[in-house]
Amino acid sequence: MYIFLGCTTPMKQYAYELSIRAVFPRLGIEIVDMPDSNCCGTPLMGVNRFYNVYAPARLMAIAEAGGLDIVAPCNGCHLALSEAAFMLREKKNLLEQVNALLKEEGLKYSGKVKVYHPVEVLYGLVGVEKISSAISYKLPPLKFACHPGCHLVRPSHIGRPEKRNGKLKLEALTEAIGLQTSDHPEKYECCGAAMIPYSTDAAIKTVAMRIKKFVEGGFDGVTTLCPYCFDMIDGKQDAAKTITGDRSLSIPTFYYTQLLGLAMGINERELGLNLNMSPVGSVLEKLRR
Amino acid sequence: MAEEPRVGVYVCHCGVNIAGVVNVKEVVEYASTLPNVVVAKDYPFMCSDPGQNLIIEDIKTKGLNRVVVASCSPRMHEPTFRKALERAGLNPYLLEMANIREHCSWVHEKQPKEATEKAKELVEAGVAKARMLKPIETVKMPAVKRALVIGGGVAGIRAALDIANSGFEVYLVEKRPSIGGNMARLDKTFPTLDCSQCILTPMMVEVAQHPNIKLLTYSEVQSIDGSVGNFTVKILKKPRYVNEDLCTGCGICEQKCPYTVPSEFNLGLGKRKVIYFEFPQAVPLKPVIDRDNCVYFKKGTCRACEKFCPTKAIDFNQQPKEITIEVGAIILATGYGLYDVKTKMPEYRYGLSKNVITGLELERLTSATGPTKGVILRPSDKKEPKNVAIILCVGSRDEKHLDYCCRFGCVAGIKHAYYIVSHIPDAKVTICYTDIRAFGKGYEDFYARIRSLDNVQFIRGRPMEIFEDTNGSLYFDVFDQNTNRLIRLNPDLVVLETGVVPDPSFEQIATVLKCSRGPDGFALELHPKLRPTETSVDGVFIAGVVQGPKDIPDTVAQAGAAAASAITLLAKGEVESVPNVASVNQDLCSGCGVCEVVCPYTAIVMEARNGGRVAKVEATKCKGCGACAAACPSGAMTQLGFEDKQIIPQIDVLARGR
Repeated sequence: MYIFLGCTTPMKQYAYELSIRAVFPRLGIEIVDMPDSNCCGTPLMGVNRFYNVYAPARLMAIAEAGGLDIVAPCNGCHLALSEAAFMLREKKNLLEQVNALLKEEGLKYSGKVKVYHPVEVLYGLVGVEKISSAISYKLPPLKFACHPGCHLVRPSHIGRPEKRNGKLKLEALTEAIGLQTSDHPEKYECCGAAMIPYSTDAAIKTVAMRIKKFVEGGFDGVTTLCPYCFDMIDGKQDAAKTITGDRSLSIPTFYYTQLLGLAMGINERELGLNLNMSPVGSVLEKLRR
Repeated sequence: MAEEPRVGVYVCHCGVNIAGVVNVKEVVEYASTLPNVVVAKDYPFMCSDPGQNLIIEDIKTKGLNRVVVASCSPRMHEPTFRKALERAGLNPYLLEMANIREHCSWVHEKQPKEATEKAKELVEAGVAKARMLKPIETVKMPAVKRALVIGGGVAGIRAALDIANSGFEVYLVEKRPSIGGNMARLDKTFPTLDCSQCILTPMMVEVAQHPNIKLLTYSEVQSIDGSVGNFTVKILKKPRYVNEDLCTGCGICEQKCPYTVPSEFNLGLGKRKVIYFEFPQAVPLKPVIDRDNCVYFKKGTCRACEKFCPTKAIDFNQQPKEITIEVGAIILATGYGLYDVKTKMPEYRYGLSKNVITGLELERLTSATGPTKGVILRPSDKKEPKNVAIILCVGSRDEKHLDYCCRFGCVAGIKHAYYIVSHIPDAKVTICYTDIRAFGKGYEDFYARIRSLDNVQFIRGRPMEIFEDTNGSLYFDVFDQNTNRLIRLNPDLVVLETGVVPDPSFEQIATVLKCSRGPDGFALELHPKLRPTETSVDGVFIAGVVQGPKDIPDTVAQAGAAAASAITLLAKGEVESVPNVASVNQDLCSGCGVCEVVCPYTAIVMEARNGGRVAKVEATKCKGCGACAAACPSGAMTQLGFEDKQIIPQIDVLARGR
């Protein structure tokens, strides 16, 4: 399948890209870089509703021409593509407008392409059982908090990879490699990333509230599969300490694909584990075989 | 036709409604030139007494035998003019209305010339049809002078008592073991704070003792056949496993029963025995054995209740009983259920956190007959809550959930704040509201009184999500629109004033009755303002929340009105068929059955004839919708008053063009 990386992952979340490229092929998922791609359309949402749909529709049309499905590792990209697919299914005239424009490039959107998030690839296509058997050792039962990120759950009416009721797929996957998971109160709350361009202060205070709950909950670490959430939780811990004055705001943070890669015995540099900004050292020590 | 048509045309000014746009004189002049028109006149208000007399006089003196009234919609005044014809000794169905108001002057306000031309055409079309009209005789059938009330809440109780007190027999059917409905669950009623059971139970006892009321509890309506005046209803009486004639209601069985399960009446907050009374004031005061949980039914042992019953009333062999009754009128009072916030709104943690409860559950926690004997204790640790948050509009007025207002949540929430601070004086209550809708009589005073309390705080805002911290405590943020601030609350009990939906049993009853429902599932009244107790089915009336959310005063008022509607029907003692019924020419009928399929009122049955089958119309069930006449491929089905030879001349005029 095509991998559509979007902007955030290749610009500042190489660890996510590295760990996906390391893990997926070893689980039998072949990934091909998406040719001639463009922005996923999310930044256009409040600016131009048409191009907000056209941009992701073009990506799906390219995939359709190549005959492959798409995996979009970023929650924002995944939502943009899914929402566009939803709107093009609901609104016939929008579909006609989009296709008229795509025709200039010899492309066509017909809705054939499936758009996956890594959590759907791992839970749905690979499966928890295959993951349990693919790992070379079980990680120790450290207590991890799973943070799905808002767009994995919302808006529910268009169908999202995760549901609010019951256990998350991400939690089942985390348990499949030996770790423990536990509920935490603000599991479905905003990481603050959306506010960064408008009010950095509010954004940092928001992620500080999330980090505080991870610390209070006695978690050994946090795992997510969203580059925005990861950037906030992993990368903004020092800022959170400075702005709130709370020195306790510190929690080791990992991409789930990094944890999975570890359990599969993959080299740590290949998983980008040297790039995590949160203090992962002591937990990593325990996670190593 | 033996008799030559003599048509009179009467053009109404409707004040300036018609005459302000249409040149009425010109229309009259044109009408008088039309074939068979003997007289054409205009008058400022044709529906007024002198207007009607004008028509009656002309019928008598000029020998008119057809009348065309050019005025408003037939929905408005067709019955008025039909009565005028009747008074003049003419068959009332020899009338044709030309709608030159709604269909002409009102919509062509700015084109008087064209409107006048259109009015002329409409009148001409009316005359063309009127010339072909035939008298129609309606059928009168005796009505069974007995009523059925479905649902034993306060609406059903009030309606049953009113009908019974006027001298008619009435069946009251309730699916639960006792009547009382949701009102019996309440501790107090707003705004007067009278004890709910104290005002309700005397009415319940009156129902039980009334000679004209036959009370069928623990019973469900299975099927309803027939039509207005003559309904046949099958009711299933579920076995209580207690002989109601022998049982004295002493309650020894309940004391001796060794097993307990969660109580439905207390919404799962307390326990009840397996043989139980729904609540201490239950009517009838007869216990019921919960077969699914009874050890005797599961394992064949125990029989403690049977052993200790002093009157030998326990009967484990009781069977379900089907009862068939005949009634002339039906009142639906099936009441309401709460919106399923547990599965639809997981963000409010109802069902996930023990200390998030509904307003109805708080009623049980406050009631002296409730699981805590009237001491408000929070479910998790049975401690008194000191910091309570009450959230209004949970699921209501929300485009993602129910878009309508529940009409009692606001004042119920205010009352719940009163419960807390009157029971626990050092407690603090925060009410998160959208708008406070305290519209009923005395509600505003009550709101002002509670709002002025020091320990009750009102925040205008809806919380987004309630969190349960790792130590089990609840917290949430709410944006206060009045102060533009985000406020964090740490309540130890959260009360959700949940939205209201029709009781699930209503859907099945509405389906068997073919009674129209609105988009939200509530019964659709015949007219939202003028006919609020009638449904799309003649002889079926509605009372209480089955029609839409309402508080107790409105429910009781509507129940009285529904009873009056039913009494009117029963007192008259007969029902008249609608005039425009379908009529089948069985010689032309091929027996294809298309009409039977399209009929929404099951008024057409297929019967055997000459070795084949033909359609037959049951005139009392037919509503004259015309679906069968339009669908019939062989022209065998006609609708009286809308026969082909009547409407084709009318269409010819309108399709002629100019």
